[in-house]
Amino acid sequence: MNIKIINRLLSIDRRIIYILVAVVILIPIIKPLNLPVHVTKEVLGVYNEIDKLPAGSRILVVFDYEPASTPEMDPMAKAVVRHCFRKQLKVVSISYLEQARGNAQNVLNFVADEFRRQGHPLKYGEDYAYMGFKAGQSAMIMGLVHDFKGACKRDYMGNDVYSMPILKGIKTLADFPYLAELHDDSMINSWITYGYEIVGIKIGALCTAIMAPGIYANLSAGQLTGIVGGLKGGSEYEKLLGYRGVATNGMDSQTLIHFLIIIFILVGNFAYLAKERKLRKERLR
Amino acid sequence: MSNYSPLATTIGIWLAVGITIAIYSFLYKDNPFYKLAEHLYIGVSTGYLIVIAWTDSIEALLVEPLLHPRSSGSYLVIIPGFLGLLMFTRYSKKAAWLSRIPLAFLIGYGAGLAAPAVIQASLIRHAGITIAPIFNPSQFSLNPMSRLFGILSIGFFSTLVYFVQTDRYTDWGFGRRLFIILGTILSIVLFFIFAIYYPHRNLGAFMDAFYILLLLVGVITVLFYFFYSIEHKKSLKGVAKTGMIYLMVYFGTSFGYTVMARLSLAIGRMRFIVDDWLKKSTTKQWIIAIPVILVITIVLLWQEKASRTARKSE
Repeated sequence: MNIKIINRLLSIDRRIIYILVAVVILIPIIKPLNLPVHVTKEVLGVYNEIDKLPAGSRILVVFDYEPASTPEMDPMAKAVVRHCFRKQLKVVSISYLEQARGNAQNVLNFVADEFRRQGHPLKYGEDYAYMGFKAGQSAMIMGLVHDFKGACKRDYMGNDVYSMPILKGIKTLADFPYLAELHDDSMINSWITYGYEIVGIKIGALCTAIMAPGIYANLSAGQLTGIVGGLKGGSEYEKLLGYRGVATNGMDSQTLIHFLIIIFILVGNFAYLAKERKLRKERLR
Repeated sequence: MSNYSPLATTIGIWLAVGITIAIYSFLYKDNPFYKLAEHLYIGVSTGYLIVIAWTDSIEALLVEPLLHPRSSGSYLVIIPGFLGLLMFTRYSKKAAWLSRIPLAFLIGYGAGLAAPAVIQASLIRHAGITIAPIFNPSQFSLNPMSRLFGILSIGFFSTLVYFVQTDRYTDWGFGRRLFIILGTILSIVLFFIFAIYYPHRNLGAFMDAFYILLLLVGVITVLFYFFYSIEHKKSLKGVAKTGMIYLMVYFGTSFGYTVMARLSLAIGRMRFIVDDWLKKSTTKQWIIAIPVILVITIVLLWQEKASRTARKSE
């Protein structure tokens, strides 16, 4: 290969790469490719646990992700809340991250409104409730372990939690049959340490792709029932619920970009090796 | 259905799109639009955090129990409240020592709470999985072939251990060393195939045993990689290198997931720009937006030019 071409390949302007990535992202957004999605057993682990809960059961959905993670987390959060409402489960939510408050409100209101438009009269305080941000992390989880209402005191709008019908009969964290933790940080460790190990609550981890590799060890140890990781996990959950949502469509772009990145890696490495070979030959001469 | 008015939603979308484009403009090069967005982000997020900390923490957990006590025990919040206030003594040199009291309380409480639970959750539980039986005895049977490969694997493994022990292993040629290592691995794999898979044709059981074996090898070799009391040379280098390969695989997986996560964010922003802005924006909105964008651009460029001139004159 000509040394000029090799050098040009090795010094492609990063801005050209950004433009290519942007174009590849945009193509499936404008014209969806409808690529197939395969469901993994990790995602099934969360889906099946929620699916087998009897109607009327309370489920604790913890929102612990920042607004910066919403493109990745919102699709799976909406899918899980939809699943709960479809199964007529009562969703109790809480956050241990200040920034997560707005995300929780948006997701719960969005899905609840969607169900109301479909003719399901969901009521705040009876069918779903959001306790708001609670400071203290592990200390607060221990508070929930001993006295759920005492630790929460009031919801995000200032309503007294003692008078909420959704929390009737709930004394401690152990009264919830399942906990879905939506997170983009290491809060899952506190839930495992103080929630699973102390009261034995079943936990499903729904997290950003960055967090997923670190918690596979917890899945192997049986501390989690499953993992829904990143946009891919969200798309699998959407498939299980039977619709093609934002996560599934996003996976079209994701797949194309992964191909593009593989091509970049191969081209870069081939060019590097070719240059090394040329230089070695020249040195021998 | 949005909780906000259509006007507020429209302004919010235009603002969000503008800030998104301003942030992405950094990919070209540093510029005043990026700086504006960066400062806005820091200011807004700090303000937001202060409001949330007040409404959901201080007001809900400290002020309200004192103003509307549920029982006489509600007044106990005065103690943590007072301890929290002591943290502010750090601003005075003379009284700064008082801030050690709440810190000591936090550290003592945190350590006492975490120590037993963390050991159980992170160490005992995970160690238990690592030392789990490699195969289910009910799915395991010794047939002539499995016995043969069992003996071969023990033989190869003993040879390996003997030469590592006597440190003569490095005197051997590359071919012989490869023969012993590959012979050991192959014999173990064939032993498992005939002992677990062959009689029952149960691929799941075989794979489970294989994964546990991989896990066991990984734990031992990675632990050895971080064991610095013995120099990693000669035959022990191989063990440390295996640990390093495991670590590299983990780093590669993590990096792959990170790339996926970052691209998901880019996809989310692009989707927002296309679906919520480009497809829904009207001509009327553009007529109002263009002069506003122009004014912001002129102000920012003028400010940038002024600061550059000021720097030059200095």
